[in-house]
Amino acid sequence: MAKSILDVYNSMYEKFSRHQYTPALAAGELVCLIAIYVAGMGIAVYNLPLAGPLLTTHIYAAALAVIFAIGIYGSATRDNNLTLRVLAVLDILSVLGGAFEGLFYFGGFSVPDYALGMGTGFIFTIVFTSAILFYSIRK
Amino acid sequence: MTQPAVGRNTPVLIASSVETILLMGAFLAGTATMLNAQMPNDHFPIHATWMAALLSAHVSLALLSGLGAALLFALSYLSDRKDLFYLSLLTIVFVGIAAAGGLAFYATYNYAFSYVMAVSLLIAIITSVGCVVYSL
Repeated sequence: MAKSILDVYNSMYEKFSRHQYTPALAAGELVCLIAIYVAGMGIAVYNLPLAGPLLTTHIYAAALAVIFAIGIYGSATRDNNLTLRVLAVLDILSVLGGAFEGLFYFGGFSVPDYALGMGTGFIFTIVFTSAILFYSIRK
Repeated sequence: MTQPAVGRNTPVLIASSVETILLMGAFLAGTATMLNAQMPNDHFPIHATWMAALLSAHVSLALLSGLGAALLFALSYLSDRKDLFYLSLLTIVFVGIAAAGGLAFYATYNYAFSYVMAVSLLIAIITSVGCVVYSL
Protein backbone atom coordinates (compact mmCIF):
# COMPACT_ATOMS: atom_id res chain seq x y z
CA MET A 1 0.00 0.00 0.00
CA ALA A 2 2.96 2.30 0.49
CA LYS A 3 3.15 4.43 -2.63
CA SER A 4 6.01 6.74 -3.49
CA ILE A 5 5.44 10.28 -4.69
CA LEU A 6 6.61 9.12 -8.11
CA ASP A 7 3.82 6.51 -8.23
CA VAL A 8 1.23 9.16 -7.35
CA TYR A 9 2.68 11.45 -10.02
CA ASN A 10 2.62 8.69 -12.62
CA SER A 11 -0.99 7.72 -11.93
CA MET A 12 -2.09 11.38 -12.01
CA TYR A 13 -0.18 11.87 -15.27
CA GLU A 14 -1.79 8.75 -16.74
CA LYS A 15 -5.30 10.04 -15.88
CA PHE A 16 -4.88 13.66 -16.90
CA SER A 17 -3.06 13.02 -20.18
CA ARG A 18 -5.83 10.92 -21.71
CA HIS A 19 -7.59 12.26 -24.84
CA GLN A 20 -4.77 14.68 -25.74
CA TYR A 21 -4.74 16.27 -22.23
CA THR A 22 -8.48 17.11 -22.21
CA PRO A 23 -8.88 16.17 -18.48
CA ALA A 24 -5.99 18.47 -17.50
CA LEU A 25 -7.53 21.41 -19.39
CA ALA A 26 -11.00 20.68 -17.96
CA ALA A 27 -9.58 20.50 -14.42
CA GLY A 28 -7.84 23.85 -14.99
CA GLU A 29 -11.11 25.38 -16.20
CA LEU A 30 -13.00 23.93 -13.23
CA VAL A 31 -10.49 25.51 -10.82
CA CYS A 32 -10.94 28.87 -12.60
CA LEU A 33 -14.74 28.52 -12.44
CA ILE A 34 -14.64 27.81 -8.70
CA ALA A 35 -12.44 30.91 -8.21
CA ILE A 36 -14.94 32.95 -10.30
CA TYR A 37 -17.80 31.66 -8.16
CA VAL A 38 -16.14 32.23 -4.77
CA ALA A 39 -15.18 35.81 -5.72
CA GLY A 40 -18.40 36.70 -7.57
CA MET A 41 -20.74 35.23 -4.97
CA GLY A 42 -18.78 37.11 -2.29
CA ILE A 43 -19.60 40.37 -4.12
CA ALA A 44 -23.25 39.42 -4.70
CA VAL A 45 -24.06 37.98 -1.27
CA TYR A 46 -22.42 40.78 0.72
CA ASN A 47 -23.65 43.43 -1.80
CA LEU A 48 -20.15 44.92 -2.25
CA PRO A 49 -19.27 47.66 -4.75
CA LEU A 50 -17.85 46.55 -8.11
CA ALA A 51 -14.22 47.22 -7.18
CA GLY A 52 -11.28 45.72 -5.35
CA PRO A 53 -9.44 42.38 -5.20
CA LEU A 54 -12.58 40.22 -5.42
CA LEU A 55 -13.60 41.81 -8.72
CA THR A 56 -10.03 41.53 -10.07
CA THR A 57 -9.98 37.82 -9.20
CA HIS A 58 -13.40 37.37 -10.82
CA ILE A 59 -12.42 39.04 -14.12
CA TYR A 60 -8.98 37.41 -14.51
CA ALA A 61 -10.33 33.94 -13.64
CA ALA A 62 -13.15 34.48 -16.18
CA ALA A 63 -10.65 35.38 -18.91
CA LEU A 64 -8.60 32.24 -18.08
CA ALA A 65 -11.78 30.09 -18.12
CA VAL A 66 -12.60 31.27 -21.66
CA ILE A 67 -9.05 30.45 -22.78
CA PHE A 68 -9.29 26.96 -21.21
CA ALA A 69 -12.69 26.38 -22.89
CA ILE A 70 -11.24 27.12 -26.33
CA GLY A 71 -8.22 24.93 -25.47
CA ILE A 72 -10.58 22.04 -24.62
CA TYR A 73 -12.14 22.34 -28.09
CA GLY A 74 -8.64 22.16 -29.57
CA SER A 75 -7.63 19.04 -27.64
CA ALA A 76 -11.00 17.34 -28.32
CA THR A 77 -10.58 18.06 -32.03
CA ARG A 78 -7.05 16.67 -32.01
CA ASP A 79 -8.37 13.58 -30.22
CA ASN A 80 -11.04 13.23 -32.96
CA ASN A 81 -13.74 12.51 -30.37
CA LEU A 82 -17.19 13.71 -31.50
CA THR A 83 -18.83 13.60 -28.03
CA LEU A 84 -16.08 15.70 -26.47
CA ARG A 85 -16.15 18.15 -29.41
CA VAL A 86 -19.92 18.68 -29.05
CA LEU A 87 -19.56 19.17 -25.29
CA ALA A 88 -16.66 21.60 -25.89
CA VAL A 89 -18.73 23.70 -28.34
CA LEU A 90 -21.61 23.87 -25.81
CA ASP A 91 -19.04 24.81 -23.13
CA ILE A 92 -17.63 27.66 -25.27
CA LEU A 93 -21.12 28.98 -26.08
CA SER A 94 -22.21 29.01 -22.42
CA VAL A 95 -18.94 30.50 -21.13
CA LEU A 96 -19.12 33.27 -23.76
CA GLY A 97 -22.79 33.88 -22.88
CA GLY A 98 -21.89 34.33 -19.21
CA ALA A 99 -18.85 36.48 -20.08
CA PHE A 100 -20.74 38.89 -22.33
CA GLU A 101 -23.66 39.25 -19.90
CA GLY A 102 -21.04 40.06 -17.25
CA LEU A 103 -19.39 42.62 -19.55
CA PHE A 104 -22.72 44.36 -20.21
CA TYR A 105 -23.43 44.35 -16.46
CA PHE A 106 -20.00 45.76 -15.60
CA GLY A 107 -20.22 48.23 -18.51
CA GLY A 108 -23.15 50.07 -16.99
CA PHE A 109 -26.34 48.04 -17.34
CA SER A 110 -26.36 47.47 -13.55
CA VAL A 111 -29.76 45.77 -13.36
CA PRO A 112 -30.36 42.29 -11.89
CA ASP A 113 -31.28 40.77 -15.30
CA TYR A 114 -27.70 41.00 -16.63
CA ALA A 115 -26.25 39.58 -13.40
CA LEU A 116 -28.75 36.71 -13.64
CA GLY A 117 -27.69 36.13 -17.28
CA MET A 118 -24.11 35.86 -16.01
CA GLY A 119 -25.28 33.26 -13.47
CA THR A 120 -27.20 31.32 -16.14
CA GLY A 121 -24.17 31.15 -18.42
CA PHE A 122 -22.04 30.14 -15.43
CA ILE A 123 -24.25 27.26 -14.31
CA PHE A 124 -24.35 25.74 -17.81
CA THR A 125 -20.55 26.15 -18.06
CA ILE A 126 -20.10 24.31 -14.75
CA VAL A 127 -22.29 21.43 -15.95
CA PHE A 128 -20.57 21.10 -19.35
CA THR A 129 -17.04 21.46 -17.92
CA SER A 130 -17.54 18.84 -15.22
CA ALA A 131 -19.20 16.55 -17.80
CA ILE A 132 -16.10 16.94 -20.02
CA LEU A 133 -13.79 16.30 -17.04
CA PHE A 134 -15.55 13.15 -15.82
CA TYR A 135 -16.18 11.84 -19.35
CA SER A 136 -12.58 12.21 -20.47
CA ILE A 137 -11.16 10.70 -17.25
CA ARG A 138 -13.58 7.78 -17.35
CA LYS A 139 -13.16 6.58 -20.95
CA MET B 1 -4.22 2.03 -10.82
CA THR B 2 -7.01 -0.34 -11.76
CA GLN B 3 -9.93 1.12 -13.64
CA PRO B 4 -13.33 0.78 -11.95
CA ALA B 5 -15.79 -1.36 -13.85
CA VAL B 6 -17.76 1.10 -15.93
CA GLY B 7 -21.03 0.58 -17.73
CA ARG B 8 -24.56 1.85 -18.11
CA ASN B 9 -26.68 2.03 -14.96
CA THR B 10 -30.11 3.32 -16.02
CA PRO B 11 -31.72 4.00 -12.59
CA VAL B 12 -28.76 6.07 -11.40
CA LEU B 13 -28.60 7.82 -14.79
CA ILE B 14 -32.25 8.91 -14.58
CA ALA B 15 -32.05 9.91 -10.90
CA SER B 16 -28.84 11.92 -11.33
CA SER B 17 -30.13 13.68 -14.47
CA VAL B 18 -33.29 14.75 -12.61
CA GLU B 19 -31.15 15.79 -9.62
CA THR B 20 -28.85 17.92 -11.81
CA ILE B 21 -31.82 19.71 -13.43
CA LEU B 22 -33.43 20.35 -10.02
CA LEU B 23 -30.16 21.73 -8.60
CA MET B 24 -29.72 24.03 -11.62
CA GLY B 25 -33.29 25.28 -11.19
CA ALA B 26 -32.72 25.87 -7.47
CA PHE B 27 -29.53 27.79 -8.29
CA LEU B 28 -31.25 30.03 -10.85
CA ALA B 29 -34.31 30.73 -8.67
CA GLY B 30 -32.10 31.44 -5.63
CA THR B 31 -29.76 33.74 -7.57
CA ALA B 32 -32.76 35.62 -9.03
CA THR B 33 -34.20 36.05 -5.53
CA MET B 34 -30.90 37.28 -4.10
CA LEU B 35 -30.12 39.72 -6.94
CA ASN B 36 -33.60 41.23 -7.00
CA ALA B 37 -33.77 41.50 -3.19
CA GLN B 38 -30.28 43.04 -2.86
CA MET B 39 -29.78 45.06 -5.99
CA PRO B 40 -31.00 48.69 -5.71
CA ASN B 41 -29.21 49.27 -2.37
CA ASP B 42 -31.82 47.15 -0.66
CA HIS B 43 -31.37 44.24 1.72
CA PHE B 44 -32.83 40.91 2.50
CA PRO B 45 -36.19 40.62 4.21
CA ILE B 46 -38.19 40.69 0.95
CA HIS B 47 -41.27 42.86 0.65
CA ALA B 48 -42.80 42.31 -2.82
CA THR B 49 -45.15 39.52 -3.92
CA TRP B 50 -43.17 38.63 -7.06
CA MET B 51 -40.01 38.21 -4.95
CA ALA B 52 -41.99 35.88 -2.69
CA ALA B 53 -42.90 33.87 -5.80
CA LEU B 54 -39.20 33.56 -6.72
CA LEU B 55 -38.28 32.57 -3.17
CA SER B 56 -41.07 29.97 -3.07
CA ALA B 57 -39.82 28.51 -6.37
CA HIS B 58 -36.30 28.32 -4.86
CA VAL B 59 -37.49 26.61 -1.67
CA SER B 60 -39.69 24.13 -3.60
CA LEU B 61 -36.89 23.19 -5.99
CA ALA B 62 -34.47 22.85 -3.07
CA LEU B 63 -36.86 20.54 -1.23
CA LEU B 64 -37.34 18.41 -4.37
CA SER B 65 -33.56 18.28 -4.92
CA GLY B 66 -33.13 17.07 -1.34
CA LEU B 67 -35.56 14.23 -2.01
CA GLY B 68 -33.81 13.61 -5.35
CA ALA B 69 -30.43 13.38 -3.61
CA ALA B 70 -31.83 10.80 -1.16
CA LEU B 71 -33.25 8.76 -4.09
CA LEU B 72 -29.94 9.03 -5.96
CA PHE B 73 -28.00 7.86 -2.91
CA ALA B 74 -30.32 4.87 -2.40
CA LEU B 75 -30.13 3.83 -6.07
CA SER B 76 -26.36 4.16 -6.21
CA TYR B 77 -26.07 2.09 -3.02
CA LEU B 78 -28.16 -0.61 -4.71
CA SER B 79 -26.04 -0.41 -7.88
CA ASP B 80 -22.98 -2.03 -6.14
CA ARG B 81 -20.65 0.47 -7.78
CA LYS B 82 -18.02 2.17 -5.65
CA ASP B 83 -17.55 5.21 -7.93
CA LEU B 84 -21.29 5.99 -8.10
CA PHE B 85 -21.65 5.41 -4.34
CA TYR B 86 -18.95 7.93 -3.41
CA LEU B 87 -20.13 10.56 -5.93
CA SER B 88 -23.74 10.35 -4.71
CA LEU B 89 -22.56 10.37 -1.08
CA LEU B 90 -20.78 13.67 -1.78
CA THR B 91 -23.93 14.95 -3.52
CA ILE B 92 -26.23 14.19 -0.59
CA VAL B 93 -23.74 15.56 1.98
CA PHE B 94 -23.34 18.88 0.14
CA VAL B 95 -27.09 19.19 -0.59
CA GLY B 96 -27.58 18.71 3.18
CA ILE B 97 -25.01 21.42 3.99
CA ALA B 98 -26.70 23.75 1.47
CA ALA B 99 -30.14 23.08 3.02
CA ALA B 100 -28.82 23.71 6.53
CA GLY B 101 -27.12 26.91 5.33
CA GLY B 102 -30.32 28.13 3.68
CA LEU B 103 -32.46 27.47 6.75
CA ALA B 104 -29.88 29.13 9.02
CA PHE B 105 -29.76 32.13 6.65
CA TYR B 106 -33.51 32.58 6.78
CA ALA B 107 -33.47 32.28 10.56
CA THR B 108 -30.66 34.79 11.17
CA TYR B 109 -30.17 36.89 7.95
CA ASN B 110 -26.44 36.36 8.45
CA TYR B 111 -24.88 36.56 4.95
CA ALA B 112 -22.20 33.97 5.82
CA PHE B 113 -24.88 31.26 5.83
CA SER B 114 -26.05 32.39 2.37
CA TYR B 115 -22.44 32.08 1.18
CA VAL B 116 -22.18 28.54 2.64
CA MET B 117 -25.42 27.63 0.80
CA ALA B 118 -24.07 28.98 -2.51
CA VAL B 119 -20.67 27.24 -2.36
CA SER B 120 -21.99 23.83 -1.26
CA LEU B 121 -24.69 23.98 -3.98
CA LEU B 122 -21.89 24.42 -6.55
CA ILE B 123 -20.03 21.32 -5.24
CA ALA B 124 -23.29 19.32 -5.22
CA ILE B 125 -23.89 20.19 -8.90
CA ILE B 126 -20.37 19.09 -9.88
CA THR B 127 -20.68 15.71 -8.12
CA SER B 128 -24.21 15.19 -9.47
CA VAL B 129 -22.92 15.70 -13.04
CA GLY B 130 -20.21 13.19 -12.14
CA CYS B 131 -22.96 10.66 -11.31
CA VAL B 132 -24.62 11.35 -14.68
CA VAL B 133 -21.41 10.80 -16.65
CA TYR B 134 -20.20 7.75 -14.69
CA SER B 135 -23.58 5.99 -15.04
CA LEU B 136 -23.85 6.82 -18.76
